[in-house]
Amino acid sequence: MAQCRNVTRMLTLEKEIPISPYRKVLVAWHLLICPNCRRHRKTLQQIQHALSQDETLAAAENVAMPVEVKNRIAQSLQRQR
Amino acid sequence: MNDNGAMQWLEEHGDMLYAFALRRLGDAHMAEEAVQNTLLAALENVKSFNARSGVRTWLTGILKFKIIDILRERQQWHEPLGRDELEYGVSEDDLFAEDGHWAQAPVEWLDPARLLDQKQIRALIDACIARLPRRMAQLFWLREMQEESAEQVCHSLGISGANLYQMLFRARQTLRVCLTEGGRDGSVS
Repeated sequence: MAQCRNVTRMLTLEKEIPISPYRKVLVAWHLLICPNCRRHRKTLQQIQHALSQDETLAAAENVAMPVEVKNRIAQSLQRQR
Repeated sequence: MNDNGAMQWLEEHGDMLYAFALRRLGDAHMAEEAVQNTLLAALENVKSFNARSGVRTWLTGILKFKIIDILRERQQWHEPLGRDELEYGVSEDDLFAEDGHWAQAPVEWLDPARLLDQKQIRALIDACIARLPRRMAQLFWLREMQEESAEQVCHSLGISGANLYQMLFRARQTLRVCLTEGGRDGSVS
């Protein structure tokens, strides 16, 4: 049952559909013997890692809020007084 | 905390909050609205601020909910998903042969010979996400922010679980394939 197709579906939707302990064993076994699925999972993990760095990286980014946007927000904060 | 406090948040964290919102919403007006709503909410709920977690983390937490609100309210989810959205990009059938094995073997994304820094990786990911249909990209970001369960997302947007799973599968696999192609020949960067 642990074909590449099933394993890929389970790993891709893991956050929405948790993998049962029994299936986890089958997936782990499949990954041991299938280099394609190992490469596939590695890329998914790399994407996940890159996305999880987002909050720290957003701070270091060169995106600056345009001055007029900042002014509008500042005005609305003052109105809130 | 008084108005000056909120002004200080805007001064110190405004750019970061704006960059964060812009990335997920893909629209400058909506990003502005999200940041403004965040600072107003922060001003009203300053008692909920926990000094240990830091101002930035606290504001980012509020921002995520404001982004979710905007994605939910402004994106006309009552309009049914079309085939061009549901069936965009890479499907399971595209990836696999009839026997369930890979039709096209996955390749390494991050080529060790071509070192990318974090910023380049982000640029690649953003370029690939920008190609997805708008609502598919928004579902992707809604789930990445992980403030709501898949069931809550379905319920609040009025879409079925089957459609959510299909679109998330396609969004993630299309992103993966786009990255491995871009990471190899540099066409996306």
